[in-house]
Amino acid sequence: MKLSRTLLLLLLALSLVAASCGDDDDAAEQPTAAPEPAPVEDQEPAEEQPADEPAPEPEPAAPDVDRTLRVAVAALPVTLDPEFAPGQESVEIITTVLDSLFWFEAEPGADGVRSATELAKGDAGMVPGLVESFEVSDDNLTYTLNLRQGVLSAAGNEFTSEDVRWMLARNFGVGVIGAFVVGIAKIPSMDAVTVIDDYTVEISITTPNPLLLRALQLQTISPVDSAVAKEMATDDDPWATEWMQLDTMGFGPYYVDEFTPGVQLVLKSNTNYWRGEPFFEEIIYREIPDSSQRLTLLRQGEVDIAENLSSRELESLGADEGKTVSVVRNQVIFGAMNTLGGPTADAKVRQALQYALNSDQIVSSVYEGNAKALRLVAPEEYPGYNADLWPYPTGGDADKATALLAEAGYAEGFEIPLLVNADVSDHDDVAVLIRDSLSQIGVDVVIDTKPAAAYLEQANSGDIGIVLHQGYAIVSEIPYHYQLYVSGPTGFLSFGGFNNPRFDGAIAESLSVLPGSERTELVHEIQQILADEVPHLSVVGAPTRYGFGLDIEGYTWYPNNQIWFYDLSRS
Amino acid sequence: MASQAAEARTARRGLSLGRFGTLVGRRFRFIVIQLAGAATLAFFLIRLVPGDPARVLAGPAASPATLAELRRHLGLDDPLPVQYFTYLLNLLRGDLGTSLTTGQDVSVDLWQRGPATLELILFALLVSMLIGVPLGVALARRREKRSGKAIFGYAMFSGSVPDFWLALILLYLFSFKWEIFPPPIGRLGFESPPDRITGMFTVDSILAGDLATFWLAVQHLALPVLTLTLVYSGLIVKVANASSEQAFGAGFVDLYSSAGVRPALARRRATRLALPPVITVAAITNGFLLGGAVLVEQVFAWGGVGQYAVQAVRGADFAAIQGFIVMAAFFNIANYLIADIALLGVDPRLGRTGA
Repeated sequence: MKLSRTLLLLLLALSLVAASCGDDDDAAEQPTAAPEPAPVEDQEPAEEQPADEPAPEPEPAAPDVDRTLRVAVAALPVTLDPEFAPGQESVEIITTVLDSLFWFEAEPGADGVRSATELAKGDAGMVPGLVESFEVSDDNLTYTLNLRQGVLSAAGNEFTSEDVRWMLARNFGVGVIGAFVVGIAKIPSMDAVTVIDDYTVEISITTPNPLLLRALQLQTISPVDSAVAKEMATDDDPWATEWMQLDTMGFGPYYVDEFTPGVQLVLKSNTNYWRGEPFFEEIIYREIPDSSQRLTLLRQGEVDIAENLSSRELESLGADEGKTVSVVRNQVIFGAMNTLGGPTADAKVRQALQYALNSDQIVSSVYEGNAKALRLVAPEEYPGYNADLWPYPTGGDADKATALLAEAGYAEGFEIPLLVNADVSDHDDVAVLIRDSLSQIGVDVVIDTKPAAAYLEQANSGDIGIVLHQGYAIVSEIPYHYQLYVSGPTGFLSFGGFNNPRFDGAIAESLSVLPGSERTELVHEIQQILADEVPHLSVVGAPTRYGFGLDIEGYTWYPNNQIWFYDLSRS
Repeated sequence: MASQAAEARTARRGLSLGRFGTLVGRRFRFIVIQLAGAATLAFFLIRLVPGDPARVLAGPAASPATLAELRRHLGLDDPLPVQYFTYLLNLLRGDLGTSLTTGQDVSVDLWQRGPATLELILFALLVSMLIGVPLGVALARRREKRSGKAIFGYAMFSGSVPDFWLALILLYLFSFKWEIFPPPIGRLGFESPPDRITGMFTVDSILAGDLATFWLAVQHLALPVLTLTLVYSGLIVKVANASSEQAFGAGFVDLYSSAGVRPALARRRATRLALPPVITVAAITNGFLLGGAVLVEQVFAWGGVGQYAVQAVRGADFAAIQGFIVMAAFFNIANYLIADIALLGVDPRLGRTGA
């Protein structure tokens, strides 16, 4: 009896220990840490470079001001490699760690929120970043980039032409998202990239490119500290993809200190940063999957920023609990309609659905006015945007819609599925109101909500009725926006298979012409075709929103819809 | 006489050890088959669920050529039987594949996260037993009294409440409104964890002599443990009640009383008789707790394998889902093996019937 009891207890204890025991030697291999930042005193003092845009002067803070920023996000990055980083969460971290060749001019918008002017000005809204100045040849095909000197990464390595060359070569070598980006830049191959000296790089493009400077701002081209990357590379992995999964090192204001995927990511400030050391010395990203808990943490002051909150949650934030930052800029919500099959293959039917749609109701009911009714599937701030070409009232016109449906032979209406991404907040509510609008004309919308992975698979299968999608173009240009989201043959996000040779031809031509009268005419033509054919339902211009702590200041909107943490401070 | 008694004790000891060895040996013969079965089910069932891992990894803007290259890189363009046998071979080598969600080996992910879930489950089981068994025994003696009815009502209520809903209610009341417990920000909030020995923060902090971290870990454990306990202890109450009713109502208890045997001895014998169903229900509850932990971890941002599994499902992360299922199967096999060993220790008769 005693032996049985003793043995039982021993076995129970052993099983507990065996199930979880492991010392540090057996412990999971930790993510490879980036080299510790070299202390500034060991380096040549960086020559002070006047910033081309005035760096925000942090107010002298009281000694006990908390210099740690805590951010609650729905999901941490899957990877820190810009080649494989499709999600917002990855882009935000990568942008913070890797400074870019060009940056955005910013000034207060009409709503008082400081915003990048690129949205309306295009390339003219870009200012030097790691590139201090540049020259363009007379034929607009050769760009000579003069790099900023004395820029140090957190590892203490100086930014040189080799970093630019290496990152561009990586875009071609790995070629996932990078292939897409060098395509936007129209850099045909690495033969078009020439290193002149340590601080001068020459890039030759095939045709004039009105998007080049913005393409050179994108995170896939933003230089990694190639000295560190090469140390991490192997013969089997020459582009250090394994290292960049969980770590990276750039010339930006922060570096990755710790990354436990799915749990927490910690950034520390780069004391060598060329614009000056950031206010926050540490940024802690914590994954909090439940949005109501992110809101609760913000209310309790446990976090300073809560991302991915729904409209209702933000509305419920009390004035003494936090503040809502909500800006409507370049995010659009549209319903991609199947133009190859089903009732929506007929342009008249698509026009009818657009006439029936009451976007104003969605703006007021779902977003409490913090959105805009969308027209022409594009933000109205885009250069060359012409709202006069859009005949569809944003409040809907059921009579006109019904008449058009009858002309098309669908007087009795029809049933159509609406595919919705379950992981995007508020889309369920938007879908309900779309259904409500279309039911007025006898169209029965069947809402099909799926998690992100299944949603993407279905959306790209071609077997769709309407796909509700939210996104933004990384370059604020109508031709690029339509090429990405509307054009069936070229756009990977068009879903509906819209194929109009005149439309695609005008887009391609306009992307090879610099701003001027010819381009203006082409952009006008593109919009006219879109207004006539209505391949997508224009739903709303959606807000970029955050919950901020009351003492967090300095938010600036950028076209990548990320927070640039360097701007922020605590009052 | 004394030497004969000693010999008898030695013989019984050998017999007991022999039964334990036989039991464990019989179980191990089936473990490989059980795990292979679980792995096979995991492999094929996951592929029935919509979701393309290559598309998730490359993003919606990826070109068809990029997707094809990724599928080739991930081995997803091989015929299904080839993928299956590659998976099984890797499994035999201990290679669970690479997670698309984290970019790490799945085995590394599970190793990092496993202790968080184990700590949660063990504490929940312990508290469930500490509450459920006494309540069940008390119910057996007080069934017609008001307190007995209250216990009965609790046993019925428990298990009918969704765990994630209860978690949110408890958080609202105890964390947000009354500020008794910390907010749902993981196992230690923003504090640094103790050096890893077992990976369970309560144990590691005690071993390190860090009482402050221990106390913080306990505070963060309180609400998720309370959630799981309230949901899963009801079954323990009911089984403990039925078992103790049967045991304490057995004929030998009256006989002992009539023969003047000390009541304590009678109670001890009756308790031993009542133990087997309680041990069984503890094992069953332990298995349920792993499933319950999945959603509770989501609400509390716990960082355990449950949260990992949810992320994997949403991201069509085949390797991670398969790894979690195999791990869960192994956990349950070990769980029931331990229960069977405990049962054999309490009731050696089970060994004769081949339990």
